[in-house]
Amino acid sequence: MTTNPREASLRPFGKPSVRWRLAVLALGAVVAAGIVAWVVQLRGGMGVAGYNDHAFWAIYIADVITFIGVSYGGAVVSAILRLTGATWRAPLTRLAEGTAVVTVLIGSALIIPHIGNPILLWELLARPNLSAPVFWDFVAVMTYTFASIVFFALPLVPDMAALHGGHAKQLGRGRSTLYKFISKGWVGAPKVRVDEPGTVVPSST
Amino acid sequence: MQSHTPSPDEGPAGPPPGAAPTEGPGLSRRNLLATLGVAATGGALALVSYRDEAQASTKQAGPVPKKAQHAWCMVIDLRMCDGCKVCTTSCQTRHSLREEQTWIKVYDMEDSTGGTFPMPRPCMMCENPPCMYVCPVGATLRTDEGLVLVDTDSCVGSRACMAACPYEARYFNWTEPLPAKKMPMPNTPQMPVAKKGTVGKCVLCADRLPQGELPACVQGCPMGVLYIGDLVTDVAVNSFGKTVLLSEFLKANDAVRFKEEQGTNPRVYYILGHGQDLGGEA
Repeated sequence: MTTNPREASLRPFGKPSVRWRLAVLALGAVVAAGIVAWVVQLRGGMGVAGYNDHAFWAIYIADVITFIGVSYGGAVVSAILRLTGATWRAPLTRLAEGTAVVTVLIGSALIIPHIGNPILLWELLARPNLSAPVFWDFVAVMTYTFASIVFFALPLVPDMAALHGGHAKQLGRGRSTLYKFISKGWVGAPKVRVDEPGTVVPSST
Repeated sequence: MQSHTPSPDEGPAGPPPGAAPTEGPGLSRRNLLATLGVAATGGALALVSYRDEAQASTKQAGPVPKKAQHAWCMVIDLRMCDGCKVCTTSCQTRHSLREEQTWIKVYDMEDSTGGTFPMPRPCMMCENPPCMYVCPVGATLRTDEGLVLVDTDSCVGSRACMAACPYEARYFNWTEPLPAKKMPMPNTPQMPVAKKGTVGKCVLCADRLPQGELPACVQGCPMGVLYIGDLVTDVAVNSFGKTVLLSEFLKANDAVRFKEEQGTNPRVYYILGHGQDLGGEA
């Protein structure tokens, strides 16, 4: 372990530890169990999940709202830090926007098991009913998803440039190409940021 | 529907007059933005007017559209109802429904003396149906004759309609539905064949009405409680073949509608007995 902030920042880009692999394995098992449960529900109908005509909106819509609520929290955190001009906000903003993107995607995806006939989901786009609140929910969530991705991706540009510029070998070809793509067009001075101790993971927001 | 329908080629037209005073070679930024704005507005207008036209065919100002030949309604004479629930079972037999899928459900209501009285509740066939407005894909429709029906071929199963219906008259196919034995017919909104993951509800036996036949519940009722009526020809008839002049029958017996305060304008009329009350402000 080193206390050099630059090396510490780059540690996640190195070789993953055994504990990390175990965590991925355990969480992957949870995901697999969820997929199996969903297939069971698709074959048997939503009744197998305990839904009935009296409780017709239950855990799935609660999950949707919970995850989208968490996502909005991410946006609020980064907005407050930005508005109050906190100079130390960079790593927190990155975390907050990352959380926002991931949770809004999970929240939106949970709509799929929530509806009874997911194979017709395309109709929501193809023949929307403009008087339906659900349609405008959909529009709002999609707008928010797009904005979150933009707010997440824009501050990544200088960091990706810094990573790609100085550590291409350490990253391997796949990541190197990805970071090159994300940082494409960045003509700032990543060196300045990298050489400044403690700001190797800055955020331009 | 007013005559403001934009022509289809209005949207992506060139720059609007006066939008870009300094025309350079190629597309200036202002020019591009103006064009995009016009295109977006035109597209939105076209979409809105499409919905307007779709609704104009079903939603009319008056209770009965002029072009409709019938306006189906139901009269329920609670004075005669003994709560035997034959209406429910006849309906379930005809539509191959499960026991809990009570398209016409008999509730126990409390009267002013503390006793209970049975009250059958079919779909109210609202003139202003909330279920239709909240469907995200427009799978609920209202015919000229005032029947609120579900197109199960486009139902995504969002169950927004179930949340919207003040009468809890909608039932979901939570599991694989029972096979439709009695009806070897194609699936239509008038005579739906139940499909897993879609919603179902009372259709007032819409396939029978044009043939002059009674809905299953009306036909099955041993007490003559249920009347099927037509607001256009102003008649109603029950299982005994008792035919009444609808408007006079409703007026003479002080008919009321369920949850009138919701503004749904239901087409099911109740005739109350002594001390009976449907609640609400009706």
